[in-house]
Amino acid sequence: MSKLVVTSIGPASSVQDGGRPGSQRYGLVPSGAMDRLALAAANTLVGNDLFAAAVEIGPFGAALTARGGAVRIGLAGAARNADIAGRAIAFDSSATLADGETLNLGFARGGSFSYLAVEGGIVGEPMFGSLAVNARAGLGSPYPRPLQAGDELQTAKASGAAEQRIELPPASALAMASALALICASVTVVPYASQLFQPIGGVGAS
Amino acid sequence: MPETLSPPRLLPSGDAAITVEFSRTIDDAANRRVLALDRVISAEPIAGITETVPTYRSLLVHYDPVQIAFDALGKQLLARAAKALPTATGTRRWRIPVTYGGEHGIDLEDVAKTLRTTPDEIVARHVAADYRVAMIGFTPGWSYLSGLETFLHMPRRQDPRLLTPAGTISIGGIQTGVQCLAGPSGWHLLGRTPVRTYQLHRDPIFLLEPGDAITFAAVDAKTFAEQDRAAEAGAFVAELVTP
Repeated sequence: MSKLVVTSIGPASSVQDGGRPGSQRYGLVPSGAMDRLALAAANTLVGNDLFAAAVEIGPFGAALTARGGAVRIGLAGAARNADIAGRAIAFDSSATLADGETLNLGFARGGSFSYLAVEGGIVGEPMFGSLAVNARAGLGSPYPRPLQAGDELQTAKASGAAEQRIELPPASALAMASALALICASVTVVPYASQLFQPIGGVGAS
Repeated sequence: MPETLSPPRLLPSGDAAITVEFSRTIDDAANRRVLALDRVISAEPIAGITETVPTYRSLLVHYDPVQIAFDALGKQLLARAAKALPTATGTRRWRIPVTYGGEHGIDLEDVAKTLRTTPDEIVARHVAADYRVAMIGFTPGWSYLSGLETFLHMPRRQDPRLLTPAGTISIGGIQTGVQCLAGPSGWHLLGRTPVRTYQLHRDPIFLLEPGDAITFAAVDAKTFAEQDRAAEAGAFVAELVTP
């Protein structure tokens, strides 16, 4: 089974997914990706479920090496300089690391968080239906804490699919949402957007 | 003639949640209405609601705006609030062991000095009262209780601590509570309980529910140490007095 080994990584970087809603009545925050659209975009690029677990990378750089086979990745969110073994790659696209190759990511530009999705998803034990890291609550898998050098992320399925690239417009969140809606028929943008414009203040009797 | 209750205020909270507010201030009657509405929604679900979060004076209702619109949901919430009558039936009662003072409750002496009495009287008063879980929040299992007697009301500390121990029993303002995980706090630390209100790999993971009745029982440090080991291994340690 192929895996990504963390060679180096900055603070505020951890495995995150769609989170674990449902236990806020017990004081447990849902956690999950800081930027859900970017998470969904990264996962879409490698054919995963929209809110599958991915690596959320904080403002600083990171380097990850493929071991045990090739690993196909999708990158989205805050753009950075990125290369695989010296070959420059663009954000909002997918690429494949051959066994032994290293993905190098620079500092975030125009944002803080970027998402590295891996084809097949990250292997872990869900707690409350999620792999998302919540260090204080002791939750998160494969590590219940932020990522650090030496950590290993097993991929659920070896790569081998034909290379496929989907270019997403590196524009506003709305453009991103529209692009996602085109890609994923399950995402409905319009009814959701209409909810953004509720009157401010109390509604109903007081 | 049935008591008529004033309708709550509906406050938009982002694009996927409504705050159903019963009072502007912490109020026991309002909290009972919050919990009653929560029960009614649980018994008669509304399609589109994804999660409800009871608090001291409001119920936060998360929903999926693709499934139900704000106005339609608001109408249904008001209808359920109108028939959600507070009731005490079915309340579970827990007895929670606490070791007061010393290293377990480093503020007990200062609290006694401030309130011009003895540590023993502080403990006697804290143990004597009848509490109810008004809400759980802040960190997993942190249970905020209503029912602290007026004598024990006092302002929070001038210098909040960044780290207080797991299991801390403390008072702050008009509130008292059971803290589960180690974390920051500006309250006065009276004691510690071995009870884990949140523990992974135990069934249930969360021990207390909003609305549960609570009484405290003072135990010595030796008992704390024994019960702490049992709790670590998964025992409740808290005693269910009435189911």
